[in-house]
Amino acid sequence: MELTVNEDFIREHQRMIYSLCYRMTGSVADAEDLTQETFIAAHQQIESFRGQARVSSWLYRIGINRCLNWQKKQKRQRELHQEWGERRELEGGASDSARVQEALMRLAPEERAAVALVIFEGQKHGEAAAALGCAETTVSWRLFQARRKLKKLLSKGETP
Amino acid sequence: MNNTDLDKVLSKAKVPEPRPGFWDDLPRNVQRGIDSADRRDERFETPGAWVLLLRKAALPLAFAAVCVMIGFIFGANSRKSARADQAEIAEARACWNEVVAMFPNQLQAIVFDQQGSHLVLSEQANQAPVAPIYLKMCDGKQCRRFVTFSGQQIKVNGETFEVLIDRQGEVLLIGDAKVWKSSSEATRMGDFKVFATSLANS
Repeated sequence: MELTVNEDFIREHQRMIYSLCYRMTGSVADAEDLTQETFIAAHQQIESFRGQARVSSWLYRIGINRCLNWQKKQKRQRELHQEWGERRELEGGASDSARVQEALMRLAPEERAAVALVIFEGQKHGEAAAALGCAETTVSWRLFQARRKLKKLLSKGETP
Repeated sequence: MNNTDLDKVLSKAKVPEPRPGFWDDLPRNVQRGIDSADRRDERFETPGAWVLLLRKAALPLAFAAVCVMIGFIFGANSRKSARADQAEIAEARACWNEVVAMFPNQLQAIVFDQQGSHLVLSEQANQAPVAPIYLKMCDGKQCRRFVTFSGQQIKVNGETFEVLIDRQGEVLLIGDAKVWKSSSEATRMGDFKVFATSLANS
């Protein structure tokens, strides 16, 4: 199967990758940049695509790796939290979506990746494991840890 | 809040739209990025002198950074004692109960250390369901906590210890040349301060 990162390909997958990047970064601007970088990287790694894999799984893998690398380079997480806090104050109370995203940002990047792929993108644990390059049990464990933290953060009456 | 409730809350959370025009511009911007990357690749096919210099300096710099990091980790944890408080035990028990339900007959140990918590699972679901043991070992630099069960082996600082429990709930820790019992007065085993208890009893 011949794969080309052309306009049709980008249009078909752009929202999927943008959502993933937003869940991972909590920032629209960074999600936009990472979406673009993911497609450029996909073009550069086109030979790594094997026909038997799903295109979306392959692209998720590239996207999630870009996001995890971004996390490593990222030194302004504290500022981001502050940004979220300020935005919430300006809005006169956080929306549910903002509260969820803020809670997500408090997870370890690997846990957030598991949540993004399995809960938000609807991937099976095995598919997420392939995208993250780890064992299926690792994904289950990260999800377990993430869920525990998110329950605490999002419980009624608590501010994440 | 259970998992279903949590998933409902999460799935309702919306992703904000990007800036206006982003979707329309994206294919063009990607193409521009691809062209620019291709040009860059051509330009940097042979590394310049500054690249070689940077490569030479990278190793010593990385080594220095690792040394600073190790010093920080050791320093930050030097005050930790081996005393296990009830909150830690309660947390360990809750974690054990939930993880056992996720990986029935597969769980060998849960390790809590500076990096967070890690699972040790057997490949086959062949682990007998017995009462878990809570174990805390501190070497003056850092503490590690384990939830494991009788007959399992744990590794701390490259040393292997076998964990056993008798019918009275006494925990035995057997190292290469030392043995420690939870009923004894001693809180030390070689370089380690140790605390252990059966989670069934505590």
